[in-house]
This record gives sequence, structure tokens and C-alpha cells, in this order.
Amino acid sequence: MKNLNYYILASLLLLVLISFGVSHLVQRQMTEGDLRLEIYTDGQLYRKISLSEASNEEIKVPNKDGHYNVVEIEKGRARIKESDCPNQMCVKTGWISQPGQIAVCVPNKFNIVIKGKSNKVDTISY
Amino acid sequence: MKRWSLVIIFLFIIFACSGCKLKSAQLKEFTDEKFLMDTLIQVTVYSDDEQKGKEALDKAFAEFERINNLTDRFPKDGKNTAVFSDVIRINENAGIKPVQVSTDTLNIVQRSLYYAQLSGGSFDITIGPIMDLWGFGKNEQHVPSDEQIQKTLSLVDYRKVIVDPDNGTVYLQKPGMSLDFGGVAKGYATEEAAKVLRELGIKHALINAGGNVYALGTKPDGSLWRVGVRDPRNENGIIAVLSVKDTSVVTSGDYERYFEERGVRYSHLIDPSTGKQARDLMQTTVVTESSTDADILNKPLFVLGHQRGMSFAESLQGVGAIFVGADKQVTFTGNLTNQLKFTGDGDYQIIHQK
Repeated sequence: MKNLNYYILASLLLLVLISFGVSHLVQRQMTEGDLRLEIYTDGQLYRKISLSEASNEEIKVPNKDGHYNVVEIEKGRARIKESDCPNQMCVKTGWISQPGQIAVCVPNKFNIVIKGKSNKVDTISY
Repeated sequence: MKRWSLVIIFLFIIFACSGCKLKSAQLKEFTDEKFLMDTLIQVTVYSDDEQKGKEALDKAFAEFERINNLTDRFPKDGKNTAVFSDVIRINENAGIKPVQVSTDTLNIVQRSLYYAQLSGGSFDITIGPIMDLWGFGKNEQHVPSDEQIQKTLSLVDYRKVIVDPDNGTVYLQKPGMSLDFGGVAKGYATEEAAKVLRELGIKHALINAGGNVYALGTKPDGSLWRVGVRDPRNENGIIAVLSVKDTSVVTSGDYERYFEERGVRYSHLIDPSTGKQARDLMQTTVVTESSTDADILNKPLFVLGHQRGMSFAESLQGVGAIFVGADKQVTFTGNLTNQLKFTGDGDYQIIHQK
């Protein structure tokens, strides 16, 4: 009888540990996650790139009207380097590196955004 | 023996609780973005049901599209927007006849006129001819002559907008007058989209319409949404973080739509009384429940400037505001004290009121 109690107790303890472990892991996965860059053209996801391990790269993205934007990527940051749009607001935005930050080219319907769990903010009012 | 069973019960409770923590994980995030209303609209909703989540996103974007079609001021290429756009029809009939419009357009015009009166005309939806003169909206910006500005200003007067709520009509009394909803349409559309999300039973959502933020409910874990306020002179920076729920945070700044000529910055934030840029501030942020009000109120606050803007904000119920002066001095209304944290980034001087 006493032995049985020990077994029950031990297995319960184990269950508790496992359940804590699992819930902790799941939450960690939900809250952390890598810093990544998402490139959108006309509101559609064009490419997803992990910024934490990115190497220097330039990507020219044409849109369906024949216009284009050039994205420059470095480790941990990105920018719209070049655009054939009239106002160049997207290029003037410069480098972005924090989750939630965004560079938008309205004339070419193009944007890049940094995703990942921010310890600072959920969104930015601008 | 009794002690053991107590321990076991205790462990069971811990076990059950560790499972509880996972519950919020059942709400899934659905997010999408679209280019509408000359800006990027991002919507994120949380739902336990995939179909419901996606439906909510679609319906929210449909609201932006609907309001965009009603309020577009310029015909879009290849689309006969005049058929939909109340604003185009009102403007075409200026000085000719009243125009039957939708309830939404009527709401927007009435709200705008209310704030025009309240702010003594520092917000004015009849600013259309001045915006055209500066070339905003059509990307042909240039500095007009004082003479041109003076001549055009005679067409700007919110008191010459005649609304007949019973017949659902809007009339501009003078030929050449035109409405510009640039300072209100996005806010109104955001409010309508949030309304639709609520009707669909969404409890947690975040809408960002080109920087106009609406936080619906709390975050799924029950904590407040944290909305950053952009540093007006550093695209990468955040000067402050606001903790909010069921609230709009809308920011206006001289960095949004502007052009430079001979080294001078000309923003789209124009004082309706002078027809020229308001220059006392570089940024205003309004925190209030209604997105429409938040969107509108930024303009009179920006135009009125640091001191008069602050007095105006403080006279309004349930409205919080942050002002960033051209001199980099930052002030805010006292009602924001508990939800506002400055990051210390940028060389701004935060002035705390007593």
C-alpha cells in the first residue's frame, strides 16, 4: 500500500514537471521567435527572411505594373535601398531593425516589415 | 495516510493550473494587410476558429474599401469611382445643387463640421482647393505664390457646407469649393472596421491604418496593448509607449506627406486660415475612444500649436494628447500620465505638468 502511494506520488510529480515544461516551451515558442523580414508586394507576401542570420543581400522586387523596389538586407536590419516611385518616401525611411517597424512604398504598393516578438511594442502609431 | 492524499490533491491542483496557462494559446492570430486609402492597412484579429478569424479579416478590409469608395476625391484609373464616391459628386455639384449621399458620408461631414466649429476653423474639410494648389494628393507638389493662396482661400469655409440630415443631402454653396476627407476618412473607416469585428464576436484585435491605430479589447493574455509613438525625426525611433485597450491612438506629423523646396520642408498639415504649413509642432498624437475623433482632432491640435492646442485638448472630455514641438519640447495632457512611458530616445525635452 505504501509502495503504491510512492508510485502514484512519483508519477504525479513527473506529470507536473512535464506539463510545466511543455507549457513553458510552448509559451517560449510563442513569445520569442526569430527576428524576420517580410517582403510584401501588393499586400501579398513575397518573401520571408530570417534577419538574425541574414547575410548581406540585395533583392530587386518587380511589381505587376512593371515598377520595382530594391531591398537591401544586412544582419539584423533591412531597408528599401532604391525605388522608381515619384516621392521616394520609402527610401527616405532608411534602415529598420525593430519588430513592428515598416518601410512602405504606397505608389508601388510595396512594403517591408520586421516581425518577431518585441519586448517593447505591439504596433507603432506614425 | 491523510497527509499523503492532501499532498496528492495539492499536486493535482498544480497540475491542472499548469494546464490552464495554455488556454490562451488556443486563440489563434490571423493577420493580413492591404494597400487601401493611399496607405497600408494592417489588421490582426484573434479567434479560436480559423474560418471565423479569416472572415473577420475579410469583413474588416471590406469596410476600408467601402469607405474608400465613398470618399475618394480623385477618379482612379480605369475605374468609374464617381459612381460610388459621394465626395466627387458633392464637389462636382458645388454651387449647383445639394447631393444625396450615404449615411456614412453624412456622419463624416457632420462630425467634421462639429469639430470645425469647436476649433474655430482650425480643422476644415473644405480645404480641398488649397490641397490641390499645393499639389498634395496628386504628387505634383510645389510652393504656390501668396497671391494664389489668398485667391484660393476664399473657397475654404466650412460654414458654407449645408447639410440636410432629413433629406440626406450635402451642398457646397460656392462654385469651386471642394471637400477633402484626408483628415477623417481613415479614422472613420477604422471605426467602422472595429465595429464589424465586434459584431462578429472578436474580443482582441489590432488595426493599424497607415499609422492610425485602434486597439480592440486587450491582448489575448489580458494585458494592455502597447502602442509605440514614432520619433518625428528618426524613422527607426520610438519616443513613447502607450498602454491601451478599446482605444485609438492616432499620430500626425510633418514627416508624413511632405516635400522639400530650397531646403524648406512643406508638410500636408496646412492651417486653413493661412493656407500655409503650421510650423509650431512637428508631431501630435491623440488618444481617445473614437477613431474618427482621434483622426480629426490631430489636425486642429497641430494647427493650433503647442499652447493653444493643449488648451483645446484639455477642454475635450476623454481625449488625451501628446505634443512634440518644433523646439523638441514634449508636453502631454495629464490624463495620460498612468498609461504613457517615454523611452528617452532622441534628444527631446519632456515637460511634466503638475
